[in-house]
Amino acid sequence: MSVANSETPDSELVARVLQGDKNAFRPIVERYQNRIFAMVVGMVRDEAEARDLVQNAFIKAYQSLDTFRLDSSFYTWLYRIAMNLAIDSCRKRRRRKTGSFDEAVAARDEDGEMLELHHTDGPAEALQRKELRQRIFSAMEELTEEQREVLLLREVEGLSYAEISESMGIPEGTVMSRLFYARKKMQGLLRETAPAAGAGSKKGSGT
Amino acid sequence: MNEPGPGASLEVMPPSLPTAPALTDAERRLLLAVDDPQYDGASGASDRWFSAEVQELRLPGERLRALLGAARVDVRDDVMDVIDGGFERLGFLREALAGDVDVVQDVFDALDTPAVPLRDVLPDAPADLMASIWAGIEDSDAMLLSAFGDGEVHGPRRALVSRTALREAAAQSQLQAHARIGAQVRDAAVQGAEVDLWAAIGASIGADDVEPENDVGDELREAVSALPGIDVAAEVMAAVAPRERSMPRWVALGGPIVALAMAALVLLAVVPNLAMPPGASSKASIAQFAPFVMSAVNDAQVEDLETAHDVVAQVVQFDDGGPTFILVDESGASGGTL
Repeated sequence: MSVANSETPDSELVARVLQGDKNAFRPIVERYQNRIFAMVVGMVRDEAEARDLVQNAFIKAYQSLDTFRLDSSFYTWLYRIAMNLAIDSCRKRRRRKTGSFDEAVAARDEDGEMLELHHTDGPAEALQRKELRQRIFSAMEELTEEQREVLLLREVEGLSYAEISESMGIPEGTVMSRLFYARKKMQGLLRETAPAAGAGSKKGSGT
Repeated sequence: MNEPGPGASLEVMPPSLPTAPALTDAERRLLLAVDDPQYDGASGASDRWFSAEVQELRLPGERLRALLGAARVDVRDDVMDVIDGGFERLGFLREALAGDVDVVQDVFDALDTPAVPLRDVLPDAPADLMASIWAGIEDSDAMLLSAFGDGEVHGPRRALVSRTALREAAAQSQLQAHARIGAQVRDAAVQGAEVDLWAAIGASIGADDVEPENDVGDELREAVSALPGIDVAAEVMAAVAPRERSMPRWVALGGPIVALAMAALVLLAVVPNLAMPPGASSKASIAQFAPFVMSAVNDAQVEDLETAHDVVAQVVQFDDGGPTFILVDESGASGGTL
């Protein structure tokens, strides 16, 4: 049996796992973990929670691998598992939610539970990016789960309307309208929370 | 043409038909067929017949409204099922009827008519649904523009929307706003989106191909071996054997820092009275390093030091140019290995 690597097709890796080769699951995890993580973190807006959810999704996928049809897309199947976990998590959180999302994010930040941002900006740019990210996540919190998922599938995954339609089991027209309303809502929310134009500048200070 | 549907009859007319345009015989036959109690929409034979009928008729929006306005709700559902194929997007009316008001605009597009006649289609729609419908009408152009920006508008409509997008500043502004939101969502989602979950997942499923998470054994072995004048690698290895609990990420900073930390540990053993922080009570831990002799320290510059939450790290330099000690307490206040 050849060694499983990053080039080995999903179907072959899955078949090998089903034959008892647990190590063949590793290339699958390494292939999709970041992609799934980006989607899940967009849904739950908490990196520590997203990490747990993605980990659980992979374990769940492993445990029910015998139900996976080898002729279908492994990623789509895995994505569905992860997204269902994420949606469940969002619903549970909404039920037990006591504070606003901003407060929750701020608290997590202070506690250092949010992962560090990996980029090469200077401190000022990094801070700006972090603030923008919080605003984006706060705005996304206001979307319905369906709108958020459509938005992420389009903007993060880059799927076409037809692909989103297939993935979510909804008509393409619904994809179009949900996406439109998600963007419209985001646009309004981001406008509301945008820092005042010119704040701190000479023009803004009235000099 | 397929066989007529089960129970087709021309004699029974729904009472609401007077408000609808006159139906052709074929349309009436179609409507009455599905309105018949014997009509079995679930059977493949009935579906195929019905589908063929609808496609044959090529119902325009007006006729369709007449059919829908006159039909019972369940019949209307059947009609909507079938016309999904011929009038692709009209099927979304089903969702609008079910309360998913996001989709109502698609209904208008599919009907290819102004919104007013929709009152005939949704005669008993609740007020909030109708309000959403009117809002949907106002959004129709913007929705199409949004789809255009995604490259999802095709055919003649694309040319039409394209002209609008080129001419109108508001349209260009909307396209730009949507593109900016997309980029920001993308950026927010992918920031820090690099995870390595195999160690945890592999351990959970019992895979062999798993390195203990954050195990520093290999790096340490290499770093200690590189230190000149130290012949105690085996003892050190015994002292820092892989642990069950997670080690801090500072180790990922590489061999030089690890080497420096090891040098500090060894020097602590040599000069415990100097290096121990006030009030420290880890003499038992230090004692195990007592026999070690450190003859040289590698040059290293610590630019950044990351630790897990439960690790206490302290950097000490006793005089200018003197050796730097890094004290690492991996068990925090509980008094673990120094």
